[in-house]
Amino acid sequence: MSTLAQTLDARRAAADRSAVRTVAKHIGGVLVGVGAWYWPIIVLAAAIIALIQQRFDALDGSTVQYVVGSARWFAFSLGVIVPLAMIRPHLAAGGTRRALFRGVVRGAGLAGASFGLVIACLYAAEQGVWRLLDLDWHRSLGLDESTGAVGFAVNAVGEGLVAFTYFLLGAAVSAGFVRFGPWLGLVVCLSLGIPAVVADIALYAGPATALAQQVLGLSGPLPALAGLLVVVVAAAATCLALHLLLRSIPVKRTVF
Amino acid sequence: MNPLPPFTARFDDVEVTFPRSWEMGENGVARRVSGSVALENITCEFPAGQITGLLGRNGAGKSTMLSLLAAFRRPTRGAVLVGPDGDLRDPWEDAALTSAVLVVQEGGDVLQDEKVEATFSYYADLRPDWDPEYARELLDLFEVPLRKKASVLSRGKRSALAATLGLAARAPLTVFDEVYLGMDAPTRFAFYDALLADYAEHPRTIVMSSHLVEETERLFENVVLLDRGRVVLAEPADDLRTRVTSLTGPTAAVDHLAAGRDVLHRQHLGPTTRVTVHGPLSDDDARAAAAAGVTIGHEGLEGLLIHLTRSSREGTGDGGTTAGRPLAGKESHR
Repeated sequence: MSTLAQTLDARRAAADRSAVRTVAKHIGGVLVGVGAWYWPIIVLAAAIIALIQQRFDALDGSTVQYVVGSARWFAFSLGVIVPLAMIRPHLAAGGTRRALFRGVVRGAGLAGASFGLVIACLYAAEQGVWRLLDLDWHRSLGLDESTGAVGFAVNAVGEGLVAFTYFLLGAAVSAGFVRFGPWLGLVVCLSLGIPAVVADIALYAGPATALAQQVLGLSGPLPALAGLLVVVVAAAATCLALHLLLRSIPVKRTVF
Repeated sequence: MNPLPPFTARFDDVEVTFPRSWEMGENGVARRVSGSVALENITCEFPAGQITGLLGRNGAGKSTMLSLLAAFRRPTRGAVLVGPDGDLRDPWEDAALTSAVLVVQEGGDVLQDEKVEATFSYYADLRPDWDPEYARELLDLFEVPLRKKASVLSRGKRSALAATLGLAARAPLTVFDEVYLGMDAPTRFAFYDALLADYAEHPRTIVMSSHLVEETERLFENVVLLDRGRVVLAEPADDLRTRVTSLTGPTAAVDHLAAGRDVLHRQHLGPTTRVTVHGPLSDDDARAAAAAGVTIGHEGLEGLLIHLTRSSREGTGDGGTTAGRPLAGKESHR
């Protein structure tokens, strides 16, 4: 192999790695910057709901559960905005669509991990406060009512996977509109939403869990794991859709 | 990492057609855009290690052609190849090539809602040849604030930012697509000087598309002229500078000298006529012209651009004899 070919090969591998890392780093930076505003507002909202419910003697369990539901839509919005804004600068800076896809998936992973951990921490903190106030903690929404380490893990993984899926869904929706225009894009985007809806139902309404319990006769943590498995499959389907949409997305000139 | 030599870019029978699509109108409402042919049978080359001017009128297809080099889109037909001489490849999704080809457009492709330094950091990560110190020098030269968001910069500063990205990336194939339109005259000339100085120190292939032909033509070593999505000519700039001759003087003498030549343009002002003809005059004709009081001049590239593209659209005005014949068929396309 000639020196030139070796140089090109070395540059190809290095450029790919660097581009993926840079996309993920950029998304991570946005998550930190926007999250610094979002999460305190969520905590404040949960606290206000709790105070109002207590004022009217209606406090009967978790209030965090009512506000963290917005997190998936927040992840979805970030998924719509951030990768779309990056497509052209990323390609102009020398990146490839493949690197953008991988970087966005990593970025969605960061979103999922951070959202899952923060939500699990919020539930854990709320449980601690409820204990201090000598109140019973329970929730009406969600995969599992476990407290302690098991509850923390289930919340972190479940909510993290849903946030991951919704972030990817947001990216796929914006890529769908760029690729197919408003009408066909709308049809594509509606179909793209199916896996996310499945993930949502699996996590919160529990048909997968019920199916695992009643039809398959599973018990213990296995039904909850079955629910999580459905969310994983939904995330993988969304990931595949995003890959197909991004791999040949054309880039139009920015008009000033 | 070893630096790469200057790249060659080649277009082989390239065609780009845009299907019917939607675009966002000024009022924010989507509107249907009919399909069109943007480029047709494009065959030409941007030679390695030279500065090539890509000229053409609005809508000629310049930006579409250049966007193929950056792999912003794929041609509908034909092949676009870039790379070091002897190892040309399709740049589509090839990180080794996309990180070595930079197409900068007016306003730059920057992270709009982030500070300028965030865009610099992004480019630094993806461009192996990026020179951060030179980038800062250029920002100082153009007085672009590093800590402001790109979206709040004026048009001129955004153009300067784009020029900075193009120069500091030191890509083996660097393309400036009318990047200097927003700059004021002093900034534009500072940019041209910086470009020439850095090009001499770090040789690379540069392609510049511009409407400001008179101002930029001194930079060009080669010229590719596009009109209506077709290559009209692709030649060394020095050959083109002597290609078109103007004859100014008494109408009868000028008409006599112009007889039998391709007249590209004709103007009358009282008894004086000025014609623009294709090709140089012989020594005998030059002596005859001097004796008849006819002044001989050479049209710059801008004149050539005007004549060649006008002849294919609006005609040459009054009385052009053989005007209206595009020269495309006469020129060799590299």
